[in-house]
Amino acid sequence: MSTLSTLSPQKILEAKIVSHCYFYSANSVKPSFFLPKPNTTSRRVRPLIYRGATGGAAAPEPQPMSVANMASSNVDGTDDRISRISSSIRVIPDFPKPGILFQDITTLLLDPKAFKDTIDLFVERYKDKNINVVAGVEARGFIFGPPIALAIGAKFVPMRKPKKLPEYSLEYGTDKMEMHVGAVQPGERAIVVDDLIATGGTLNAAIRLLERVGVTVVECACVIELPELKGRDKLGNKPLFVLVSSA
Amino acid sequence: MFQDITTLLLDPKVFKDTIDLFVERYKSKNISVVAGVEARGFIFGPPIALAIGAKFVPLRKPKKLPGKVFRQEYDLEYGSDCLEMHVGAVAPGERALVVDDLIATGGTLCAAMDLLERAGAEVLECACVIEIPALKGRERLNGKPTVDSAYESRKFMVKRLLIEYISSIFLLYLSMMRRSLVLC
Repeated sequence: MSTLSTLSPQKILEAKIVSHCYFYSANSVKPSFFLPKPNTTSRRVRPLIYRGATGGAAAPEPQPMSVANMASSNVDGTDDRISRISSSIRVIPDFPKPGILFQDITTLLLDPKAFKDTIDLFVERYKDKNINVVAGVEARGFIFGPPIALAIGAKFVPMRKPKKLPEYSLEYGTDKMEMHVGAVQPGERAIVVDDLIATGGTLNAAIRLLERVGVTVVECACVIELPELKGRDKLGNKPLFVLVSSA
Repeated sequence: MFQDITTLLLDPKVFKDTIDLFVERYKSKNISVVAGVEARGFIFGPPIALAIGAKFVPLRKPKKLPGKVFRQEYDLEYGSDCLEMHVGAVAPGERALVVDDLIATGGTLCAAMDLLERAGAEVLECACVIEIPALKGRERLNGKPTVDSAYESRKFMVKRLLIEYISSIFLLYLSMMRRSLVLC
């Protein structure tokens, strides 16, 4: 939070509005590829659980286990699934602006097994947690949220992201999230689903909106995390579960 | 008059039944691609794709998809809009399904079919939860004129919609929940 005081209001607005998939990198970027076969190309997105080098370029260094890793008994099965998921995510340089590495999950959706594994990993985690509500943030949260909701028997609540505000609208605040009145009841338990967490601004807005109507947000669930942008900190005391951490 | 499927999503059993109805219809049709139109097609498309083992291809508004895209413009009542699809997402010869929550004039679905056919896929059917029959979207899909000369030699394909059964269930559900529904 202390870093925010050094940022101008405009940068805060930018960070919150463009919280999806934006990653500023000073490193040279590798060329993108389209739907590589799993385990045959170098991983540009490091999996959460490290399991030795794949073929291709330099082996990724061992990553410390994140707080949100899968500590379940099925570690071996989970690891194969995670490596397939991470290798099916495509990285596009310089989109939407130069210097940004865009994490594209559409290639994951083109691999039915990887997509199914993604959903299964979330469902295994949440099916016994008595979750009533799965909230998904427009539009990529709409892709992952409903299958999870169907599998765990929860209702799906779509949430609209804030639109880009012009500079002079800063006075009205930056955390705007829309949800239907009456979609959720006080006391319900919810998870918030999105494809990626960057700065955490969008997820934070979703959490605050749900809590304002009396819902307990149990956890946030994302496919990808960009740890350098420290989105996890912005969620405060809410736990975050991700499958893939992209450094 | 705005038909809202979000109330359907709040009832897990009804949502599951909706998906099951689509899955039962398409699971043995050898469909390899389910294309969903942004954004509410993203809610119904992926569960259907997962259940029938097909890949899911998002069709999005301009400038949302990174990398190389096909772009298809279509007319609105006032002005025009545009849909995009990734190049390489669909291979020639694949059998495809287009999913959206609602068909009104049929403009968006026509653009979606155009995108898939430009990539070489065969669009089997369009599937929607709700139809607004007064807007005659179905006719626009069936009698769609082809502009590209490369298509003239292809067989004429009839595009059909599955909606009456599902929309009747949806209306029954809504009436049971005593919400007002205005039909146009």
